[in-house]
Amino acid sequence: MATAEEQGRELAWRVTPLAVYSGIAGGLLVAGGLVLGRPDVVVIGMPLILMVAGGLARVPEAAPQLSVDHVRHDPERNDVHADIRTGDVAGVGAVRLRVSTPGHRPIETLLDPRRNQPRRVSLTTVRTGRQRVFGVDYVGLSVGGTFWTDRAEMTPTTITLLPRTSRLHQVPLPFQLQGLTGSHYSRRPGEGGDLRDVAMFAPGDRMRRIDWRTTARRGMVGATINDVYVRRTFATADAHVLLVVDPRDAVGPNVATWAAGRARPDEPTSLDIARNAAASFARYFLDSGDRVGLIDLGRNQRPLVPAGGKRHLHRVIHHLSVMEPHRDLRRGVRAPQIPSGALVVVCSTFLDDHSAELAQLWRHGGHRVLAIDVLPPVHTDGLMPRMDLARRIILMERDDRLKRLAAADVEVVRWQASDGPVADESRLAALTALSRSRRHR
Amino acid sequence: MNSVTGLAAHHLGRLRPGPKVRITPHRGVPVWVLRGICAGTAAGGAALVATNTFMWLVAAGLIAAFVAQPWGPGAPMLAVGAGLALLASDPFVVEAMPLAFGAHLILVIAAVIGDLPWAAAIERSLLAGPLRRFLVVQAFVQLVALGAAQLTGQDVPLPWVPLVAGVLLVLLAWGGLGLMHRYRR
Repeated sequence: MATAEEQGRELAWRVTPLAVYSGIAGGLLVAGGLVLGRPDVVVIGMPLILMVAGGLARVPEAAPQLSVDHVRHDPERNDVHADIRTGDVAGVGAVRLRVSTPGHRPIETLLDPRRNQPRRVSLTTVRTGRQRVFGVDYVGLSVGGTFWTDRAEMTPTTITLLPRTSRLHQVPLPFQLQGLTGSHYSRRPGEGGDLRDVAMFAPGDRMRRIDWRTTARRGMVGATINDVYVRRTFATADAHVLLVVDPRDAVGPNVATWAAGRARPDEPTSLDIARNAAASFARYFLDSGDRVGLIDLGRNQRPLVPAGGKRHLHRVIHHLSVMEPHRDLRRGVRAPQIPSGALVVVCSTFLDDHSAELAQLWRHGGHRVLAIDVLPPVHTDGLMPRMDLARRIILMERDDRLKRLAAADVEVVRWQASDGPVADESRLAALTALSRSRRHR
Repeated sequence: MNSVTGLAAHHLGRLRPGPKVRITPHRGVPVWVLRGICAGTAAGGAALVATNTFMWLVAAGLIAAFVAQPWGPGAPMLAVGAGLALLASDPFVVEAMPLAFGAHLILVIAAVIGDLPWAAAIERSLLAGPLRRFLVVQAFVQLVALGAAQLTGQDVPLPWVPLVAGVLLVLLAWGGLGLMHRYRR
C-alpha cells in the first residue's frame, strides 16, 4: 500500500490549538507578573512559554511516513494480519493512527516513529470473498506536540479470503454417469471391477474375461466346448456436477441487519455458507476425478464449464471467492443450460422464487437436483414488531417454497456454518442418506 | 437509504458492538490513565490555591473541560487561574513552585494525548522524550523560582526542592556535555 506521500498528498504542518492557547496563557502570566511585580506568577507562566518556544524551534522537515504491507490471512484462526511501518523523519515525534475496517470497531493509538520494528494489526472475520481491510488515517505530531499535520488517509487493502472446505464422506451422485472411465461404478457393462453377470461370449469380449468354470459346467457337451461364457463387470464412469450458487442474498443470522446489509463480521452470511458448501462439493467431486462446473446466478455471465483436476478446484474456489451479492437478476433470460445427466447442486437461501423455480425446472428436465439451504439460523435481536412480522411472513413463504421443492423431487439439505461437529455430523448424515436412497444408472 | 433501511440502520445502533481491530503496540499506556493523572494533578493544584467554593467550582469546570478535551483551552486556563489566585496573596507564594510543576506536567501530557479517545493507547516510549524535556524545563524554572524567593526575602520551607533542582541541573549539564562530546566526534 502506498504512503501518503506516494499518493501525491502534501501534508502541511500547523500549530496545534493547545500550543496557541499555552502561548497566550504563558504570555499573559509572564507579562502580568512582570508588570505587577509578582515573580511567583511569572514562575507559573515560564514553563508554558518555554514549552511552546522549544516546540516552535523544532519544525519537522517532512511529512510522517507510514505504510501498510504484508496483508495476510490466517484461515485456521480466521484472522487477517498486516504490518504497519513508520519511517523516522526528523522532527516528527509521534504518529496518531486510526485503523478501521467495515463492521469492526476502529482502534486508535499513538505510535513512536523512531521504532523500526513493524506493528501488527489484526482482525478476526469469518467472512470470505473480497474484503476491504485496514483503512488507515493518521496525523503526524512534531516533537513537543507543537505542530500537527492534516489527516492523511490511506485506502483500505482489498484481500480475497478463500472459503474453507468441509470434508464430505458420501455424496449423492447424478442419475446418469458420463464417460467410459472414472471412479464410480455405473450400471453399464464395461471395464471395471465389480462383477455384473456371466454371459455368453460375444464379439468384442476379451479372451481374458472367459470364465472357464462356468464354461466347463454349462458350455460343454461331452468333451466339446459348444458355448463360451465370460464374466462381465460394471463399467466405471465419472460424474458431471454443476454447482449453482445464488449470491444475490448475503444475509446474516440477525434479521435486523438484512435491510441495511451490515452483518457482523464474526457471523457468517448466507453467501459465506454457500461458498463453503460449493467449495466442499467441488473438492469432493474433483478429488474423486469427476468434472465440476459453476454457475453464478447473480450475474449474467458465462458459467465455468465442467472440468476436472486440482487446478480446476483452485479455479472454482477463486470464482466462488469473487462472487458478490449482485442483483443482476436472470429473469427474462433463459435458464442456464445444464449438461445431460449432470448433478445440479443449488446453493441458495430460497428467500425468493428464482432459484427454487430453476431447481424445479432442472428437476423436470431429468437432472438430479440437490437444493442446499444456506440460510443461517436466524435470530431477532433488536427487531421491531413490524419487522418481526415481515420476517415471519418471509420465512413462512420460504418454508412453503422448500416444501414445493421437496414435492417436486428436489432433495433439500440444510447446510450450516461448520462451527461445531454437530452441524457437520447432521449434514454428513443427510448427504449419506440421500446418496443411499437412489442408485444411479 | 429508504425508510426500511434507515429504520434497520437505526436499530443496529442498539445491537452489540462488532469486534475490534487489534494492534500490538509495544507496551502501551491507556489514555484514560494519563487523563486521570492530569485530573488528579489539577485537583491537587486547586487544593493549594482554592480558598472558597467559587474557586473550587471554577477549578472543577476547567478540570472537566480539560479532561473532556485535552487540546482545548482548559489546561492553559487552569494555569491562568492559578496565577490569578496567587495575585490575591503575599508578594511571593511558595505554592507557585508546585503549581508551576503541576501546570507544566498537565500541559506536557495534554500535548501527548491530544484528542485521542479514552480507550486509545500510547506507546510507552513516546513518554520518555516529553518527560526528559519536562525535567529540563522544570530544573530551570524551579531554580528561577528559588532565586525569586530569595530576592523577595521569602523563606522556602521545602529543603528538598533546591536539592532536586540542583541535582537536575547537574544531570542536565552532564547530559549536555555528553551530547557536545558526541557531536564533536
